[in-house]
Amino acid sequence: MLGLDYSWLAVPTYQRWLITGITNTIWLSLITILLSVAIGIVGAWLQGSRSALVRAVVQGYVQVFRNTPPLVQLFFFFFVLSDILPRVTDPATGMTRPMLGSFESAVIALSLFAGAFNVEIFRSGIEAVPRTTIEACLSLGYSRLQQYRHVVLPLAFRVCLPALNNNLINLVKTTTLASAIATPELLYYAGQIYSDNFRTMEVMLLIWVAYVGLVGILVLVMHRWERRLRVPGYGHQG
Amino acid sequence: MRNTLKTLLLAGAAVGLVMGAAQAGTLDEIESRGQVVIGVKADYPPYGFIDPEGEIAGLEIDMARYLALRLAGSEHRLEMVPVVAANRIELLQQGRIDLVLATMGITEERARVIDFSRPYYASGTALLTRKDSGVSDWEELAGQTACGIQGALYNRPLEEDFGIQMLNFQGTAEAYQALQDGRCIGFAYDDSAIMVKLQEEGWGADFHQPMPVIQPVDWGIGIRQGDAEMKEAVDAIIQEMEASGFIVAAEIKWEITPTEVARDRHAMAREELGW
Repeated sequence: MLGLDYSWLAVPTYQRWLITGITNTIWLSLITILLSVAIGIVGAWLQGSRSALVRAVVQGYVQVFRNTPPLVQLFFFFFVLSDILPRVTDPATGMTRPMLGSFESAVIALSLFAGAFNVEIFRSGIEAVPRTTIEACLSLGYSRLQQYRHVVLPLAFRVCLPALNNNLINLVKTTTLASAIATPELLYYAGQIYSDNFRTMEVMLLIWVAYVGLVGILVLVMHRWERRLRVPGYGHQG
Repeated sequence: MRNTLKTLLLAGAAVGLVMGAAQAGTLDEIESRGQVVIGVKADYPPYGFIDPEGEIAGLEIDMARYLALRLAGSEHRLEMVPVVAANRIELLQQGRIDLVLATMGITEERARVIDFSRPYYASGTALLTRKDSGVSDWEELAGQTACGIQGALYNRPLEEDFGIQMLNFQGTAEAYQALQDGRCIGFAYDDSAIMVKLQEEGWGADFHQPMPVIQPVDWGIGIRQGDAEMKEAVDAIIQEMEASGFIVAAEIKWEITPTEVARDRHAMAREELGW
């Protein structure tokens, strides 16, 4: 069939590259998913702060990180921010190097990027919580934090899960951009393999299957979670 | 799903057909078009780069002009297409360019998909590193991080043979920046490019190339597979350039430290032609 040749999969170096690449992609995805969701939850809460300054800071963050390309953010954290931050001594060479390596830069940039979207996604959920429910909290003597933790967020979460899923799926796919700052993830090694052996089609098909698989697992987990969280009569029919 | 797969396979097959279609002789095409189209580098000073006037210039560009003179009758009957390592072979196979003259090393893998002219130059892998880094041999780099270029030929052997941790970037600008930032002990790259970088202000003072040059690879002009007529013509022109001292003179013109390979090939070509 099309003369696809996968014999290169037997080369130990390629195997090691693929395994390292997929491991790093999974780590990068997991860490940025958790961090960006945390940023979204905290950011959305701060958006409702009484302090105008806090609200302005959150708004500024969302605008800056949502409205700039993620690739630019990656380059910014890797090349520009590392110039400003203090340097650390590398025990291997005894020389100093920037504090943020490529993986760390990618984690920060991608978390902040996806986090900015998550803030807005959570806000959409929070705004869907009926005013009367919040009044009920107030009359029960809940503090603002208690009200957010026990009532608003759980309800908001259920409303915004589909939008959150979309953003997290995009985040997993956006991790491929980290190859531009030499984070050794899956696409980074894929490029290395096909420029080595010219099996471009075979390598690309493999990568394609890998991402469909990874995103598929994420979708499966999120859908299960969505079903488990379902509250009868709230946010869905039947 | 089934249909998607079918479409995908059909698309793949179509690409295969186009790529495999027998090309009419490139020489005939050049004649009927009245122009040679050559893929060149535009990011590899001083072999092929954008000069201050915004024109593509360099040693290989001079060679491209010479090829146009011989193949199409005039230096001006030349169209240059800037290429990168990742697309030059595909562009040649698709017939978008007639020749690849772009610092391309002759390798077994590449020779399976295109033909190469006789070699006209050579380079090896060297390391640009700080003078105070204290390294002088590849063996000392085991476990250390070296910057490199994604898709370069030498990445795999550097990891396999010396246990070097490669930190590979898409372009040379990022790699040079990462080296200056101290993200890697050195930048593993073609010796020909490193030698030229060291002549740049700010680099020669703090950096040097202390390593034995490894993995020497001959540079050849890429020709579409099976076009023997074209290969014969290109080989003869290269021989002429070598024998007449064109390449040796071009090294001096572009302030490249005269290389052994250019000198040896000059002598060899003269001998071949009985000059």
